[in-house]
Amino acid sequence: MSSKAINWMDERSILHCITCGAQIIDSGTYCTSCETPIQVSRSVANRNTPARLISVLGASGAGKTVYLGMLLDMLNKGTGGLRGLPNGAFSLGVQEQTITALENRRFPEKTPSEADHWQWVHCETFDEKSPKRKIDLITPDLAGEALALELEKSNTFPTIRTMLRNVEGVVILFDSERVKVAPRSEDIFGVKLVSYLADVNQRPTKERRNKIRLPMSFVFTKADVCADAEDDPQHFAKTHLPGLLQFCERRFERFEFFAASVVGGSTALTDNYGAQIQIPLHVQPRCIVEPLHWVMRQMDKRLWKGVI
Amino acid sequence: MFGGESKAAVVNSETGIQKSKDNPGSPKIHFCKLLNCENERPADSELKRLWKSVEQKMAVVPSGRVALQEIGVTVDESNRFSDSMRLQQSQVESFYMDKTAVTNADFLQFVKAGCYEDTQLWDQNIWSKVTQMVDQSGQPGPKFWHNGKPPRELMEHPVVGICWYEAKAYAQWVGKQLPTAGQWQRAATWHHTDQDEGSITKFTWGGIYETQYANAWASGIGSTAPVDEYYDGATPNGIFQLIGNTWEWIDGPFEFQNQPENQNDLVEIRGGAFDTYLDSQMTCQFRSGQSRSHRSPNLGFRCIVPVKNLHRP
Repeated sequence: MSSKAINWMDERSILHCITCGAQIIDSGTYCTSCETPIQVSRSVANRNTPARLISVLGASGAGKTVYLGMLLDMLNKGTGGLRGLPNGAFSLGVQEQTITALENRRFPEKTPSEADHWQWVHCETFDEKSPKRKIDLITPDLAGEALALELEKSNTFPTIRTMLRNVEGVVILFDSERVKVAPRSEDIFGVKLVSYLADVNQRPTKERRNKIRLPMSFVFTKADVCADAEDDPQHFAKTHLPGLLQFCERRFERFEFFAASVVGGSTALTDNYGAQIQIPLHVQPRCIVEPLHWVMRQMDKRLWKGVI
Repeated sequence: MFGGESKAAVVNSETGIQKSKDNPGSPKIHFCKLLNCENERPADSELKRLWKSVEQKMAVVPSGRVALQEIGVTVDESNRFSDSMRLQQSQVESFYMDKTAVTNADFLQFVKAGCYEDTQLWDQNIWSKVTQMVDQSGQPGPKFWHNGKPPRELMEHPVVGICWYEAKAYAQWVGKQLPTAGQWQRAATWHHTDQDEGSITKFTWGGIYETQYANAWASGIGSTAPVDEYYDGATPNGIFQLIGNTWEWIDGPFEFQNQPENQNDLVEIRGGAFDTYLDSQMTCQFRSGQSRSHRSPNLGFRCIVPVKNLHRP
């Protein structure tokens, strides 16, 4: 929508989309340019301070919903010096869905591929030592299949592209067991994802000799069933994801590997058709907040150096 | 045979070791080791002295019924799993239970006694696994020890990094047993109700979770605490930390009702640990499981001995 067309409206009803920056009318549902829900932009606009975005990404089945839900719940309670406040009721959906499922010894339902079914999250996160420096954990709980499609063909999901162009940090999840069993395909997916990030975060030609400063933390999820990843995530990455590691070393300035788990035990049950379903036995979060905290510290360094 | 069905009994002289002026740095020994007196019965005076030690280190839990939650899993019409919970009544005879979890200092006695090399303590099927039960330096012992010893500052913390087989071997060595699910739950709830209907008492201290009564995720400590802390969370007969600090190995499999037997290798664990996130998962009734050979930093054990197995002097 052109700015002329909305001149007649009260300025207070005009927002800027949090992901693509387009002018949007507050009464709508989605940004017409990138399809980000307007409630996300509204929650930032109500705050009157600029947004600094971090997103959580991962392939299908990497455990994004569980990780994100647990992360939000832990941030709400305050963990490891980090605290987070959900901005808007919509931000509680993933958290509620995850905790309710785990309490009932289930993993949450699989996230649908359609963008309008994704639950969005906006959590103002801050280090308790410097509570005024807020970072916005703004991310859709997007389906891994959608991310894969976007990597294959750019702009299939405009939300993903615009969001990743504007993030200042990312947390990228890999299923550690799948990395161990099928390292080649996970490595290829990882390289595709970071090349996409490199592409959308490309600086002007003059700066291209420098490495990209976007901080990325790679998290091997479900580490409770993969001792190799849990013991030494850096070495695990070197052994199983050599392509990804090489690409990151060449193009990115800051990245780190972590191993995380939400449950302390799980077991597989077989259904009537012989398919196996994992049942979580008890919740015992490990290294959930640390990857985000690391990214936030890197973002602070960038600010301090006046890079942004 | 130690502490088995045949009348075995009581304690050795190691039990009385306490911190003293002569040896202020020495760790407190929390365990008492039962003697096999099938063949040779100690003098009554000796037995009396040793009984005193049992009563200091262990607490008697009266007999009664417990309602164990049976976790059932059913598959609905759309092939989705759903939980079903049923209570199963179980009668428990009176028994003595260790007042505290087995500590690193206690377990050190087991390691020093060369028990990892004593084939009588281990099932023949797992002899090959026993050689892999080593610490960080490759010495026999719990996973997180070094050179066959625990860190000095953790002597009175619960021993962790031991699998179910190690817990079982230790229990056998001291002439005791691991508790069954019924015994563990009876120890945690006997003082609240004779019937233990499950919904009455969630925690050893009452129905509402209190962060200061147990070491769990919400306490914010993030590691084990000494076994005799959290006095307010103890049972009236002085059993410490049934809730929190470390999960405890149970003598029995963890199974889902309706599922084919032996589908997994899980053994039951109880009580929650310092890193248990949901307070609903560290109640007196909550049952979870772990693989028998799992050695984790939040899983320890304590022992019991049925009253009927002990001789009075």
